[in-house]
Amino acid sequence: MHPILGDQLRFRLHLTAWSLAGVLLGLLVRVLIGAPWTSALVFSVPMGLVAAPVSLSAWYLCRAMPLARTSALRIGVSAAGAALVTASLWSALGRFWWQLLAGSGFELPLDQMVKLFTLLLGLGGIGYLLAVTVHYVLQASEESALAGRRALESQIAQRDAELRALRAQVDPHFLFNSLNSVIGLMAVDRDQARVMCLRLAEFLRDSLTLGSETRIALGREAALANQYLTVEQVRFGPRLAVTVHIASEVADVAVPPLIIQPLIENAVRHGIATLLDGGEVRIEASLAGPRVLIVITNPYDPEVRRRGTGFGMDIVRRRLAATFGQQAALTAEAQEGTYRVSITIPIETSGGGVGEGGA
Amino acid sequence: MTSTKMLRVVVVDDEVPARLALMQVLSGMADVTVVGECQNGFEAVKVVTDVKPDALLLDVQMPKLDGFDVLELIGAEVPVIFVTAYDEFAIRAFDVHAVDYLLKPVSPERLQTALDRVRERERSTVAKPAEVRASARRPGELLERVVIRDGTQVHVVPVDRIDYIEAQDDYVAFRTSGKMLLKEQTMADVETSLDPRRFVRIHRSYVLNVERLARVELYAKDSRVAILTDGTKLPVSRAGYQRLQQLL
Repeated sequence: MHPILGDQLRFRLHLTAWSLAGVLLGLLVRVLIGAPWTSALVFSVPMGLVAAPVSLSAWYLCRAMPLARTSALRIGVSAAGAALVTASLWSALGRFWWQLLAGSGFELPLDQMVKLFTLLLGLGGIGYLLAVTVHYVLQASEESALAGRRALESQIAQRDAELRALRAQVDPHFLFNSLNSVIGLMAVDRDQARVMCLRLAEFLRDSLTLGSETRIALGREAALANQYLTVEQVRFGPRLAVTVHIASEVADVAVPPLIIQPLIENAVRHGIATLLDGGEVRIEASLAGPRVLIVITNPYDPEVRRRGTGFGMDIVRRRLAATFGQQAALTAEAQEGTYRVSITIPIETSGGGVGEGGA
Repeated sequence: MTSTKMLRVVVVDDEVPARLALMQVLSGMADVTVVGECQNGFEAVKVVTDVKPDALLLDVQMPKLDGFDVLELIGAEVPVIFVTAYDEFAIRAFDVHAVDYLLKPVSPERLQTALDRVRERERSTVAKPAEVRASARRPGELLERVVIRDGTQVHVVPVDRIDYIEAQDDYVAFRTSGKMLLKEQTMADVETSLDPRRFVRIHRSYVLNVERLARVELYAKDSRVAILTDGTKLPVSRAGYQRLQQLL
């Protein structure tokens, strides 16, 4: 795209510049050749305006010889040659125009044609070279803008890739343990083994389907976490109790899918599993001003140092930052045997839950 | 494999279905009887003391006392086979001389191989479980808590509740909350496994938790005593006094 034709503001500036050049030419005609003001301007302003589109052709020279990849000598010779040719044509046009005006009654002396021709040739050449320079400057700025945009695009692409990589994946040990439970149940309680298989399949299918969405309704997210916990309840028996409470006014708020999944896995693995008698995992969500507050609590054994919880938490934190920037926050606190993770998420205005909203 | 003697096995796992899965395979083996089923490490230590099984099928991730803790406490008496869904403990299991390391879900063939290894180990004298190193902690890792067996009971003592440790022949005694708990371990091993900024070897026979120290008094020429906050007096050697001064 032509850097001046493609931009309205630049095109207007360009025309203004050449109109002023026309006025300047009129001044020179008045001073050097002695034509009266009106006649001089009637001649010179159209000459300037004609030069405007002609000078745009300098772009093709710039494009054919990029500054960075062409020797200065070659650019100099080519530009000078092009300037000479263009200025000559313009001067010839000027001479014809001058004679036409003189014949139509304007006071333009016909005895100083050599002086006029030299003036036009000189001005035209300088004008053309100026145009070449301006085009080179524009080309350079355009290139740097392009480089900036490319850098930004690649940054966005990288963040996209990172988000995809961070998209919560279900802990494989969950699968191994679940399969092991099914094997154990098969001998004593075939019905429960079947129920376990169905719950597991349901959770896996839903986590795959929903995981490929960009946003799901919070109510659906909580239901998915509940499905996971239902499978874990077969493993842990009465040691694992679950309470899910999502306030109705936030159930449709859009959240990244599986955003709380790593936290639920932590609550079981580093919480319930460390206690002889287990305890309750609570998932609660409510409205907090313009945001949603999601709280996950679980009891834990204070005497066991929490190992390796950082990773799951880190994934959630990074996904939140990548999705909501500074708008979202995650805090974790351990107090008197209770571990509590709180997430605040902004309520996005653009259309609530994606697809299957209701849980 | 003819006329092999019956192998008496105990299954330890905190999850009912996981125990069922193992029991089911074991019940199909003619030369194996399950003599115990435990849902945590405490029960495991008790059962091992009471029934003296030939092998322990031991889950790694359990509350309070994990599989490695249990092995530390009873590994010298019973061959241990770890059973877990996590493969990341395998190297550590090898370090502490577990007989085998099985991944859940366990196939009957794999379980059979593991039990065959127990029998092999029984026959050979080369790798008796007595070789099991007392400490299951990872190299370079400092202890957060000490597990001590007291008959069929197990004490889990956070290190900050230890007042001092005293050498007693082949044992070390941990003094905590007014009690002395004995553990089969060497003084050198105790010293290296505790945080050197909190515990100092003040004497050939004593390691002191510096937070319990009230003052040091000169007792005779070149001989000092440490007075603890509860009034207990412990001897301090010359080298021990230097180490103490460096820390304080």
